[in-house]
Amino acid sequence: MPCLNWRKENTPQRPKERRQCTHRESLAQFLAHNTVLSAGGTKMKTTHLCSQVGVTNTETELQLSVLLDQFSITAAKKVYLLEADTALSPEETAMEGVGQPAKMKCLEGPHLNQGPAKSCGSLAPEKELVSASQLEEEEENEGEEDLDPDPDLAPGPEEEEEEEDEKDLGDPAVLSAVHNTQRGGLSSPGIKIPDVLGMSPTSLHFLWQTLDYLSPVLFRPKFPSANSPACHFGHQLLLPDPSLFCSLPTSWPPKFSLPSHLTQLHPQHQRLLQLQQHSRMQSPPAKKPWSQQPDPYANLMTRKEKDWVIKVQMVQLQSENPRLDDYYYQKYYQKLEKKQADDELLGRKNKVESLKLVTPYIQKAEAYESVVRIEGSLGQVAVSTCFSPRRAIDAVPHGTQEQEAGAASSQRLRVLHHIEKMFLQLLEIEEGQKDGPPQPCYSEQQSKQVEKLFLALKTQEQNNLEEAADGFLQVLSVRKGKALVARMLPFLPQNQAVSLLLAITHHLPLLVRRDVADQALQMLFKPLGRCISHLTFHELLQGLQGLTLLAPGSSERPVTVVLQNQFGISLLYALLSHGEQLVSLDSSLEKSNSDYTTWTDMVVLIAWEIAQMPTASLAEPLTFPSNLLPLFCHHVDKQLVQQLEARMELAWIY
Amino acid sequence: MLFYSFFKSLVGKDVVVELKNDLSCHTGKRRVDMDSCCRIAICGTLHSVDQYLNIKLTDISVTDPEKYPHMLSVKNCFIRGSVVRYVQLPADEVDTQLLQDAARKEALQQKQ
Repeated sequence: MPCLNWRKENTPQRPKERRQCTHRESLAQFLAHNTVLSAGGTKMKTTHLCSQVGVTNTETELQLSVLLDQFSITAAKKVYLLEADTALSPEETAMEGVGQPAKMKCLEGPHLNQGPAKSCGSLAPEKELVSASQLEEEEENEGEEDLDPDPDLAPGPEEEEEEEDEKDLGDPAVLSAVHNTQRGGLSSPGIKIPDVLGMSPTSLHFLWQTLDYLSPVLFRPKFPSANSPACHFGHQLLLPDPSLFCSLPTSWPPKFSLPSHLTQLHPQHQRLLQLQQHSRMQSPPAKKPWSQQPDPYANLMTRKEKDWVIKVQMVQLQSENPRLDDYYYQKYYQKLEKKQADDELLGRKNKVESLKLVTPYIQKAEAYESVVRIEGSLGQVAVSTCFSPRRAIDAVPHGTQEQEAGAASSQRLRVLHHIEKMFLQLLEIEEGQKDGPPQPCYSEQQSKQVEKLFLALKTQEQNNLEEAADGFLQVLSVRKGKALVARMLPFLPQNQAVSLLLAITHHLPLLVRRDVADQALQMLFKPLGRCISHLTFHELLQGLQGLTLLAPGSSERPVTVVLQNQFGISLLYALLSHGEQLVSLDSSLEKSNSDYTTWTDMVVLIAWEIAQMPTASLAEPLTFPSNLLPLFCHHVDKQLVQQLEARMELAWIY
Repeated sequence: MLFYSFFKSLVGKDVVVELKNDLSCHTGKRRVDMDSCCRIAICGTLHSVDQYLNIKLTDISVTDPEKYPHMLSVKNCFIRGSVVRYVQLPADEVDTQLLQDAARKEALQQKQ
């Protein structure tokens, strides 16, 4: 145990001896006292101990008893007692102490201010530190006024520090312990002395060593040493300023059942949680029998200590770029907030003013390489962090995946790959479009991006127009592709959106057939509907023509298939409704040309098809425009209208 | 950090955590009728989560109390992330589209 050896070498004799004796006495007293208190402790044992220690002084008994509370609570039931005789020299005791569990080890080193705490782990033995520091306070209290920093001890830790991994964060436990003592209190009064196993004399010696090695004063918190590859978390752990400690008392789980006050929650999230808690608190919580008994293990750590521990963890989580690192959480609550704001606009009351979320911003000290290459080593030394738990090999795909044989699966893979690439572009565009509903962008850069995306969608490296359309259809055959197009449509300028719409309507039966499994075409309806409302009459006719024309080689029109599909029928109705709107608004259209005749013909045809269709197979549209029936009334005879009415209203009973 | 972010958004919601060591914890309210063939599921309200996906649950209940009587008195627990097998989530609290986008962004970041 390196720290032990160091201690032995550097322990000065003179100034310590005095303290040594006093401590030995006090400790012995305390141990004796404790042994008596423990179940099964006998007077014999006490005297045995006392005689071995050579202690007669009983002044500091109480102090020590309190101290050992702290100590034994943590080490209680885990104290590995050494069965050695008292004749062991301190050195041997120290060596045996090596075999002791980590908790015991920690007590030895004055890592409170200097020593390496590696063996103890970083944060666990705070309690030991408290007790150790309190033992130190005891030294002070006993009247040792000359608390000079031990010169011999000072240079020692410097060397040790460098070698060891820096986990020493200048324990606030110690600092708070100092504060505690300064306030005059020794310890919390409420601690009961628990059952402690009797301590053997060797452990007594062991504890003496501890006290001996405790250096009196000067808590010099060490700043973390320079980066070491073994640094697990990849950040420089900052020394938290004690003044930063929050003094809000909360316990876990607190009555509010909020996570620690140090966690940064989105204000929306905070509001939701508080609402939850209020609703839960209103129902009186059932009293459990165990909650009324005083907990002997409570309040071992002060609020400051707990906060410090939490802060250490939180520091690692601070990032320079919360939008990226914390993408899901931020976006989720932004959406929720937006939804609530919309609801509020519609009439629902907004309860609380939205707070400004302040995210603490801590500079990442330095980027580090998670894969460490040591000269002369075979391969890589994997360093795992919380961001990349294990990167043992360089798993980077090399080369392109484009050269595939024309197998069906590879074709599908190609389509999927293509969709993913477009998705990344789409995400970029959406990022650029801050807030507000997606709309055709006005900034140059965004328009370029959109253009690029559209070209990627439409052309797909095909020369032939038909094949290009085919590529587009392939994209649409996949659920992901439909989602992509649906999200992309609002960003497109009208002419491009129209071209997509026309492509869809022309191949609607095919799409419908391919969508049987997914039933995902619905997501296209809303953006397409918006596009339809901006259609010109001519474009509209073009769209409808595709549906009414007889496909070569089949006896039925596409309309029939379309009518049986929900998306198809909704789209059709939307188109018809828009046409009717255009016609009714602009009377000049009626007088003109062939367009209007085509329009009338189509309406009649569609009406006839609907009438032909058995009611059962008519799909239910997503929306039913109100001007459809009047439209049919204009162009179709009464009998047919009645039939239509019956069909339409029967199919969708509101 | 994707799943840390994801679970953060679920803080305060009821989840069921199934453990690898055949221990399931159920949260107090919902009695899930599961075919619990010696698999422990802990149901509880997600109190907090950390970057290792350690989970703190409050107000828990275990699927099969008679099988695991030692859990009867436990109200809150801390579950180490590495021991979790499944976490059952409320479907309406999850935005799958956003999750997909977050995954894409994460993949992009990793490539860089």
